Amino acid sequence: MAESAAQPRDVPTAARPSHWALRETALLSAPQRPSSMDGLQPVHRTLLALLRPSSAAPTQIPADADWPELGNVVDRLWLGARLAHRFASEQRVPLNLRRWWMQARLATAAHNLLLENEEAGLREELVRAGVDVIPLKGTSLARILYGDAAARPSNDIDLGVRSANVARAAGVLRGAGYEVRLPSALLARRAFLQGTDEHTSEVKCTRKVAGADVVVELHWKWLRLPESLVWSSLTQYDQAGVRTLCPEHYFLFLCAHVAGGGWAGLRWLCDIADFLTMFAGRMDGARCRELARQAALRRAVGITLVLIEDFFGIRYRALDSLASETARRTARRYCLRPFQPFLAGTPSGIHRARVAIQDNAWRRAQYLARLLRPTHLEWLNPNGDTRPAACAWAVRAGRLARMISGVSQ
Amino acid sequence: MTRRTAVRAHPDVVFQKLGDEAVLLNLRTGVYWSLNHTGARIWDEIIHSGKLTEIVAALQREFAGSSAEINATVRDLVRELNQQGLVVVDEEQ
Repeated sequence: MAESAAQPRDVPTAARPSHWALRETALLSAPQRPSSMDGLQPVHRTLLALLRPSSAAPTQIPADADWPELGNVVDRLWLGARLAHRFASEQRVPLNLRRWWMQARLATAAHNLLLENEEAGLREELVRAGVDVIPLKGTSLARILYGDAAARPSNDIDLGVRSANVARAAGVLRGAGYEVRLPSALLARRAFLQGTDEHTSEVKCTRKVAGADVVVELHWKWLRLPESLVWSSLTQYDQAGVRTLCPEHYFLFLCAHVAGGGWAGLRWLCDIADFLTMFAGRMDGARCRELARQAALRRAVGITLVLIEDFFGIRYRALDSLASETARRTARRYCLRPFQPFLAGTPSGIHRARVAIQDNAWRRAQYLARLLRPTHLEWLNPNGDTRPAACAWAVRAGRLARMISGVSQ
Repeated sequence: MTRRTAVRAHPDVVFQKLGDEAVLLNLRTGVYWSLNHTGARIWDEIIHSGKLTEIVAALQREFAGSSAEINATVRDLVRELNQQGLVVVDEEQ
C-alpha cells in the first residue's frame, strides 16, 4: 500500500486495512488550523508550489496558473535564477518563461562570478593583514545550499570581522581601491563600535570592478551573542570550501536578517527553508533554542518557522515551542510581506516594526534605548571628521528632541 | 591555427558550468558570454587538455558530423574566443 503524505511516519501502514488508513488520513487533515496561506492570492500559491523544496513533496502546478502574472512576480522578487535552477526542463512551465529564467540565471552566474572572485581576493588580503574574516550570505551561501553560485542572486559582498579589527579591515579595503564610507578613526573608536547593533554594525565600501559597482559591507555584529562565542563556533562547509558561522548560528542569523527586513523578500525565506532541509539534521535543537533566547530572537524565529512551514511544508520540530499561537497569528498577519521585494516605509515605521517583534518588554526597552545612541552620520562632522563622543551624543539628543517636538505638535 | 596549436583560458576569465551550458566572464571588461552545449564541451576540453588536436578528437568521439565539420566548429569557436580575449592561443609549443 502506498504511504499517504499525511500519515504519521511512526505507524506502519502496511499492517492496517486500507480503508482504515484512508479514514485516518481524512481525520488528520481536518480540521485545518488557519494558515499564512489563507491570505494569499492564486499567483502566490503557484509560486510557492514551484519553490517548495523537492524533498518536501512533488511540485504541484495548478493547470490554470496565470503564467504572465507569475513571471512578473518572479522578476520582482529576484527568483528567476532559482527557478531556472529547478525547472530548466520542466515541461509544465511555459517555454518562454523557462528561457527568461535561464537568462536571469546566466546574468546571475556572471554577476556572482565577479563577486566571488572579488571576495576571494579580499579575503586573501585580509588574512594576509592578520584579519580574521568570514563570508556571510552572498555567493558563499549559494555554494553552501546549492553547490552552485548561480542559483541565488547576490547584491553585494558581506564580510564579517571581529570588532577589534574593523579599522584594520577597512584599511585593507582602502588599499584595494575601495571607498570606505566611514573614517578609520571612527571605526577604531570603541564607543562607536559598542553602540551599534546587528542592524547598524556595518560599513559600506564601494569600488568599480570591470565596470560594475561592487559593494562590500563589513559587519562586526550580526547576532546578539558574545563575539567570542560566534568566532569560536565557526564551521567548515566543505561543499562550498568556506569556513563561516556554524549551522545553529547561521540559521539564527538568517532568521534575524529576514525579520530585520520585516519578512519582505521571499528569497530569504527560500534560503532558510533550504538551509533547514540541508542542515536540520546537523543542528542541535536544544542549543538552537537557547541561542535564540540569548540572542532575543525567539519571536523572530517563531514567526519565520511558521511562514516556512505554511509556505513550504518544512517544519523544524526541535523549535516547535517557538512557533507559538502568537507567532502563528503574527505570521498570518504578515503573510503578504514576503511578496514585497523589500520592506518599504519610513525609518520610524521600520523601528516600530522591529520593536513589535522583540521577545518581551525588556527587549523592547533595550531596542528603544539603543535608538538614543548617535547614528553613523551623527558621529561625523559635516567635513567627514569624527566628532568627540560628547558632541555626537549632543547632536543625537538635539535631533531626538526635534523629532519628539515635531511629533507632539 | 595548426595541429600543434595550444589554447588556454585567459587569466582574466572566470567561468561556471550551468548544466550543459557555461558562462564566461571577462573580469577586465565585465562582459559575459554564454556557451551552448557544444561550446561548453569545447570549453571543457580547452581547460582540461588545451591542445587543438585533442579538443577536436574529443568532440569527434561525442558528436555526429564529419571530421572536417567538427574541426571547423572548434576552430571557429577558438578564433572567436580569442578575438574576445577569452582565451590565449599559443601557435607553436
